[in-house]
Amino acid sequence: MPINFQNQDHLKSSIKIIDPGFYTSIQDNGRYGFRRLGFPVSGPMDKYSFITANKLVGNFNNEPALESTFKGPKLLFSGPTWVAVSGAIIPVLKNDKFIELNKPFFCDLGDVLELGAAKRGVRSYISFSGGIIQNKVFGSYSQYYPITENATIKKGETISLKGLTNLLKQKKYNFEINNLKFDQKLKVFEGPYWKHLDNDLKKKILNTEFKIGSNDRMAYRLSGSMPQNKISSSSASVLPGTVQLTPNGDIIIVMRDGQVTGGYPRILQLTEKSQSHLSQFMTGKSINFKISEDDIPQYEVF
Amino acid sequence: MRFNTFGKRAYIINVEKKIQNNSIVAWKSELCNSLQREFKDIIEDVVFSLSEITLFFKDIPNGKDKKQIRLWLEDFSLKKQNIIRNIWEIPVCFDPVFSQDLLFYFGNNPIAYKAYISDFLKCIFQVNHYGFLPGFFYSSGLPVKLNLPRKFTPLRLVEPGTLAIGKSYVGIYPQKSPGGWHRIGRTYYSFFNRLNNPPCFALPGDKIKFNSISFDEYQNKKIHYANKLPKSRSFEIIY
Repeated sequence: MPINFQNQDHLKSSIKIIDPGFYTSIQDNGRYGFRRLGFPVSGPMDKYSFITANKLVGNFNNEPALESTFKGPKLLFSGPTWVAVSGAIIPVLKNDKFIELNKPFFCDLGDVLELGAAKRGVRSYISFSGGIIQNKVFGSYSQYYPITENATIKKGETISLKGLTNLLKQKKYNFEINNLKFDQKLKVFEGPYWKHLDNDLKKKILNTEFKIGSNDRMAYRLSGSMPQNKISSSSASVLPGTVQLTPNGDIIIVMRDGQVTGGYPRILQLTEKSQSHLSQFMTGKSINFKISEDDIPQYEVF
Repeated sequence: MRFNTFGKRAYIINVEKKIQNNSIVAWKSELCNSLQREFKDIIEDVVFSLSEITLFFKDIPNGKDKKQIRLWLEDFSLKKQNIIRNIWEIPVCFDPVFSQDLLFYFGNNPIAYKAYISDFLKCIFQVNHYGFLPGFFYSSGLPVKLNLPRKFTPLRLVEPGTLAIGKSYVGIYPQKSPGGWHRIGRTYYSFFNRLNNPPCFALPGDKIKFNSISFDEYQNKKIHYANKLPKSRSFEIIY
């Protein structure tokens, strides 16, 4: 049930960053309309956990939240707000006492919230009722340097919160929480180049277990035992979830801060859910691709 | 009209082979901008490359939206288009401190190195499309004999303002970044400034002419000129 924020006190609240964690940034839905200038879309790596965290504090319009990677931040509150943490399985402490994931809790002046190191999964989302007060840059709050001044939140920085506290009056929230899935099968659609691959290579790609190598918000690199190839492909658009095959047989999957064009053949496209699942996997984890039963035709005539 | 699917919310229109050349870059760019403006409620982005135009939808488009887009595209392609573009003069310092990759490529042979720069300065380039980084554009117009391969091992850090060549493309790094292209010079102008609107002054279809400047001129102007606009004059293209 949507929560009505009208006629609520707008109490001034903020958080001071005592420790930013390993890599914590502000993310909203993403920055759209500027791909033609080379702007990545940014936004949450795990969209589903981001939406869950927002809903838990009554934000049904996906307000900007904090996305942490592996080790979360330590925050000092200067006023009242509802908070929720979703995503990776991670210890969450409020004033040194453990707090449950995926449940809203109240923080007020002087409270200290600390996220430990992720035990399972990689990315956590910390949402605040009403969201964060920041200026939008090119239509988005998502941090990405040099479009925004910084790529991440910084130690000592103060971030203003809307601090809408009316969730206090809401005893129930009525939606299903999607528990994090760690299924190694990632669902994909056929990419624009898939039909040009020979059948042996297609079978090999779908039957291979790939190992995740280096990864960040730009891309996940996978290694398998794909043969080297001389497929040449001209530079063309890519989007988050695009699976590219490199000449030496490695796989690169474009993620939220990834390039808007790429020169490697686009063989597969991860479903949006699988993009979120992948973003919770760390280096060394094995994955394989499975064509989605929800597969789409190669083309449509408009 | 055939639209190739790319995931659930993106569609690719292939550009006909016979017009896959650089002469229609400004036209494609105007088409994409107009399409995005016209259908801003349903389209979140439109991106083009040499052989494709990709439409990114906010949601899975319905039959009515698809039909409207097809009609709009057919109408746009039949209309005469007068497009204004600029030719920019970009000063570049080719001092060896900024062009060490080129010197290395020619085995420290100063004659081949100087001949390359001299030939390069005779060329006029065209901004084709943005990609790789915010504000990084790929320019065409480099003769085949001046093409340089991508470096075998990319550099971890290339400085902003670096003019570089990757195969047949010429680009200028707008920010510090890793880079695998051969560095041949440095300009003091900034090609991306988040505080400007628009943040990038060069449009697809614009032309670029490079002028050689001394190391002293580069040093003297790099602070005060970084966020100014380079010299330019406009020209009209009729499609």
